[in-house]
Amino acid sequence: MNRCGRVVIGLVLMGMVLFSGQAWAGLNVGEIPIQHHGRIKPFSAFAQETLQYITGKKRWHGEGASLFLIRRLNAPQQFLTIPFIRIDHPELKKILGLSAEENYFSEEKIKLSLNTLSGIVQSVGEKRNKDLRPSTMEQQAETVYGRVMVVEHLSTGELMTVIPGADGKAWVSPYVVSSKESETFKRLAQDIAGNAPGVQQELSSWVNNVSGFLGKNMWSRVRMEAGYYVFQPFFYAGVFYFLGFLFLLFKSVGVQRLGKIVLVAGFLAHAAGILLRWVILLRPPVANMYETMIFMDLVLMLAVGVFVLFQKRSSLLSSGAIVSALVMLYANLLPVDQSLDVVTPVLRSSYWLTIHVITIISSYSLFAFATGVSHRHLFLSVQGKLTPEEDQMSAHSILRLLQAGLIALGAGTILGGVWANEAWGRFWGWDPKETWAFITFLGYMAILHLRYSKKLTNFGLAVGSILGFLLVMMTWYGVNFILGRGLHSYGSGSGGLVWVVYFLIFELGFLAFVFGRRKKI
Amino acid sequence: MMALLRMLGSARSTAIISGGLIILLIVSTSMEAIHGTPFAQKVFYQAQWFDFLVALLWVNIFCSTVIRFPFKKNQIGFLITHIGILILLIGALITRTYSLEGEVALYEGESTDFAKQSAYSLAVVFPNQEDERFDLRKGNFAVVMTKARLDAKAQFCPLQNKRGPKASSVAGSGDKLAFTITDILERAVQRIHVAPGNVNGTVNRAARVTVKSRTLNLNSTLWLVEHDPYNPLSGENAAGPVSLKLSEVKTAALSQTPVLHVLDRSGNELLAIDMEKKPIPEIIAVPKTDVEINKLAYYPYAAVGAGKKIINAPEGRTRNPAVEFDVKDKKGGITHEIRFAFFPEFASMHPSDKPVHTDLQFKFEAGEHNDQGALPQGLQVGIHYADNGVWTYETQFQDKTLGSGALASGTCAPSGWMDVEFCADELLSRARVSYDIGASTDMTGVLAAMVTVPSVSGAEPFWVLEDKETTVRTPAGTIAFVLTAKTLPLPFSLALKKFRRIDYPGTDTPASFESDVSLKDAKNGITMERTISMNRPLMYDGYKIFQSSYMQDAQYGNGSVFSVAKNPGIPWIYIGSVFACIGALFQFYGVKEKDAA
Repeated sequence: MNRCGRVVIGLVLMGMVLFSGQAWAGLNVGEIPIQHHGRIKPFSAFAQETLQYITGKKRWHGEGASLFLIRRLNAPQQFLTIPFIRIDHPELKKILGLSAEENYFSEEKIKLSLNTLSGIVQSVGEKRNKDLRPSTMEQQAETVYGRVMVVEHLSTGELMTVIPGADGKAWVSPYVVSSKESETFKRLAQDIAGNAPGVQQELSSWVNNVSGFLGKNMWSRVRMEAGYYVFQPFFYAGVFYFLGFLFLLFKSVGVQRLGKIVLVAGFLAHAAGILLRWVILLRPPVANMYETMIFMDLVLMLAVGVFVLFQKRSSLLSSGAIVSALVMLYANLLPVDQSLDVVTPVLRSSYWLTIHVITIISSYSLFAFATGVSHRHLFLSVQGKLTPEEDQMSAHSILRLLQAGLIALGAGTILGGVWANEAWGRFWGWDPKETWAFITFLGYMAILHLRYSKKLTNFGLAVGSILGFLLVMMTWYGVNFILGRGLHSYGSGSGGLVWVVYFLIFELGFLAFVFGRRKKI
Repeated sequence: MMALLRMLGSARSTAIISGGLIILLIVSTSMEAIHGTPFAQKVFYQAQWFDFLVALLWVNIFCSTVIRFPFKKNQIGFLITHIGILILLIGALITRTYSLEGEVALYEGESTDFAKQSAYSLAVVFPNQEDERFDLRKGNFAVVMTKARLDAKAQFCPLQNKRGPKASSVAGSGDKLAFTITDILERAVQRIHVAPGNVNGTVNRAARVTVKSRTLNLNSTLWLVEHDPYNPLSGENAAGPVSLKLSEVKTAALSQTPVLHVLDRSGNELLAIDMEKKPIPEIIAVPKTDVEINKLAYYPYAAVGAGKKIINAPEGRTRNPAVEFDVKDKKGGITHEIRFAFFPEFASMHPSDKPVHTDLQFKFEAGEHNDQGALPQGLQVGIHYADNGVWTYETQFQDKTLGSGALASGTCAPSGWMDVEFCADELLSRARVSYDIGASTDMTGVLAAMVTVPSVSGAEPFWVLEDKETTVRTPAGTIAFVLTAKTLPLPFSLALKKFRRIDYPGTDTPASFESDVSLKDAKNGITMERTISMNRPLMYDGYKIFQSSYMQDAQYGNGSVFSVAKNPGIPWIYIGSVFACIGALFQFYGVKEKDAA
C-alpha cells in the first residue's frame, strides 16, 4: 500500500508538471483577465466558451481558442467572414437557403436570411408566451441566432471587456472606449498577431497591471481557472475510471492492483477538479446539470470507496468504476453547459443549495452504484458464475445501497421542500421535478416493500434496482431536458434525448438478454 | 371491521394505490409538458379527486400500520416511519385547507395592510363607491340598493385603495337588485366575427386566410379586414414569421413620385409640385394667390443635423422624405416651412409664428412605392382587391417576389417560401365586423364572467372582464360590476422603503434583489425594520413575507412584489419528516436484516 501510495503521488505530480508545463510553454495569452457573463475570468476561459458556443469545438482548425480570437482583433470585422457558425439542423439549413452539405457558415452568409431567422426566433418567443413548446428546429434557430449575435459582438470588439472598471463597475472594451489603456491593448493584440519581438514583456506588463488591480485573491482565482481549462480534470478522471475498470477485469493480481491505483489517480483528479470549481466560483459546484453530474460521480466513487474499505467488498470496485466512467462520458455527450457561471439570486443562498442538492445527488449516486452492482449481479447470475454465497452478498449490497439511497432521496426531497418553503412559501407544489422525485421515491419504496414482504428474490431485486434507476434518469435529466418545464430550470436546456434513448435501449436490451438467458438455465 | 382494516392495509391495496399514483403522475407531468403548468394544476393536482387519492394513501398506510398491532421489538423503525408519513400527510391536508397565500405589490414609499389573492371575486360598486363582493361562481345573487349607496356625493375612497373587503351585509332599507352569473371563462378573449353584409351595404373588403406550414408547425386562421372601427390595423395580421396585408390595387395609376400639394382653405388643389421632376424652379408662384414658394429643397433621407438643420443622410438611413421651403408674400413676409411625408403631424407641432399664408395648406406625399422604410420581416403575403372585384395575391420574401396570381374563395396557393401555404377561406366585399367574448384556445386571455340583471329592461347578458368596470344603468341608479382579486387582510401593515437590484457587473443578470421594509402592528404596538431578500423572508405572526419579484417603472420608480403566506401545516410536515427519516434509519440499520431467499 505504501508503494502504491508513492506511485500515485508520483503520477499526480508528474501530471501536474506536465499540465503546467503546457501552460507555460510559449505566450500565455490565456491569462489576460476579462469580464464575461458577470465574472472576471482568464481570456482562455472566455475564448473557449465563446468558440465552443459558436462552433461546438474547443479549437478551430488547429488553432487554440485564445490565439484564434486575439490574432483577429486587429481587424475584428473579419469575424463576419469566417465560416465558423455551426448549424446542424438540416431543415433549418434549407429554410435559411444554406448548403446542406456544410455545417459551418459565416455571419455574412447567414445574414442574407437573417429576417427569416429572426422571424422564427420571434415566433418562438410568441409560442413561449403562450406556454407552447417550440420545436427542435425552432430551438436550433434560437441557438443559431444567439451565435450570430455573439459573432457580431466579436466583430465590433465589444465583447473584449479587458479594461477594468473601478469600484465594481462594468469593464470596458478597448475597441469601444478610447483611452491610453485601449491603445496599449490594441498594440498588444497586434503584436501577438504579428509575433512581434518584445511581445512577451508587453503581455506580462499588461497582465501585471490588471492583476495588481484585481488583488491577490481574485487574481489567483483567475489563474486557477486558466489552469482548470488546461488541466481538464474531468476528462482525465473519466479516462482513468475507464482504464481502472478494464484493469480490474483481469485475473492477475498485479494488473488488478494497477487498476486500483489508476482509479485512485482518477479520483484525485476528479476531486481536484471539483475543488477548483468550488474555489474559483466561491460556491459549491452543484448549480447546473453538468455540475450535478460530476459531483454525483464523485459521491459515487466515495461510496465505492466506503464499500471497498469498510465492507471489504472489493469485487464491487469494477461496477462502481464503469458507472463512474459512463457518467463522465454522458456529462460530455449530453448538451449540457460546462462553463463556470454565475447563479441566479435564488441559488445564491449556498446553505440550502448545498444541503438540498448534495443530499439529492448522494441518493442518485447510491442508486447509480446500485444499478452498476445489479448489472454485474444479473450478468454473472445468468452466466452461472455467481456462487450462492456471492449471490447473497451481492444482493445484500444492492439492498443496502437502495436503503441508503431511499433515505437520501426522501431527506433530500424534504429538504428541497424546506428550501421551497423558505424561498417561495410553499413546501410542495407538484412541480414536475418534485412530482418525479415522488414517483422515483414510490418506485424504490415499492421495491423495498416487496423485498420486505419476501416477494422479491435476489434476481428480482437487481432487476428492480435497474428499473428504478430509469426513474432516476427521468427525474434528474428528463424533467429538465425532455419535459422542459417547472421551477428546477437551473440545469435546463434541451436535447440529448438520443443519448437517453440509447441508454434506455441498452437497459431494456440487457434486461431482455438476462431474462432470455435465465429461462434457458 | 378487522377484515376491512386488513383489506385496506393489505400489500395488494398498497400496490394498487402506489402503482396507480405512479401512472397518474407520469400522465400528469406529460400533460403539463404539453399543456402547461396551469392546466396540470387545475386538472390534476388541485382537483378534489386528487385529494381523495392522497386520502386513500393515508388510509392505506394507517391500516397497514394498525393491523400489525401488537408490535414486535424489531418493528420500531417501521412504526416510527409510518407514523411520520401519516403526520406529514396530515400536515399536507392542513396546508390544503388552512394555508393562506397572497401577493403584495408596493412601490417605494407605499404601504398596505392587505394582500391580493389569486382567486377573484365579483364586486358590485355603488355610486358612493362602496362595494359588495361575491364569490365567483355561477348562480343567483342580490344586492340591496340603499339610499346611502346610491348617493354619488358620499364617495369615501375609490376601490383600488380600499382596505380589504368592506362588504356591508347590513341590508338597510332599499330595493333588492337581483343578478345572475350565468357563465365564467378563465381565459376569455375578444373574438372577431366577420359576416357578409347585404348587397347594398357599405363596401368593406375582408379575407379569411389560413396559413399553414408543417416545418414551422403553423396552422392559423385569421381575418384581414379593410375597415374595422375597433382596429385601425385590421388590414394587417401575422402568423409566426408570416405577415399578411390586405390592400387595394388602384386601377388608375397613382403618382409614383413624391409630390408637394398646395391646397386652399377648402381643400382644393392649387398646385402640385413633383419633387423628382428636375430641375425644381427657384421661385414657384401659387396660382389664385399672391404668394410664391422659394428655395424648395427635397430630402429623400431627411435627418436633423447640427443646428437643427434638415440634412440629407442617405447612407444606411431609412427613407424619410421631407421638403423644406419658404413661403413669400408680395409684402416681403417670409415663413419657413418643413413637411415630412411620414410625419404629417410635425407641421402642427411646430407651427410658424405669423404665417404669411393663413389660407393655404401644404401636403407632402411620399408616393405610392414607398414603404415606411422598415425592413420587411419574414414572409410577406399581400392580398389585393381591385375595384372590379378581382382578388389577387403576391408573396414576397426579402423584397423578392416569389409568387403571384388570382385568388378565389376556397383556393390555396403555395407561398414559394419553405413549405408555407395559404388559403383564402372566404373573400368578402361587403363585410360586417362584430366582436364577442369567447374562450381562448391558447394561454392568452383574461378572466370573464357573464352577468344578467333581470330588472334592467331588455336584460341582455353582458360580459364583465378582469380589472375592467362594466357599468349598468338600473332603475334605482347606475352600478358597476368589476372582477377584482380577493383580498387577504393582514394583521399588520407593510411599507416598502427601498428596493435594490444588484446585477452581476457588466451584465443585466441580477445577482440579488432586496427590499428594505417596515412592518407595523398597531394592535400590539410593534414596529420592525427589516431587509427582505431572496431566500431571506420576513417572518411575523405566522406570516412569511418573501421577495418574489420586482417592478422597475419609469413613472412610478422601483417596487417590490412580495408573496405573503401563512401555512399552519408546516410544523406537522417537518415533524412528520423527521419521524420518517429517523424511523427509516432504525428500520434499515438498527435491525439486523433477515434476508429473504
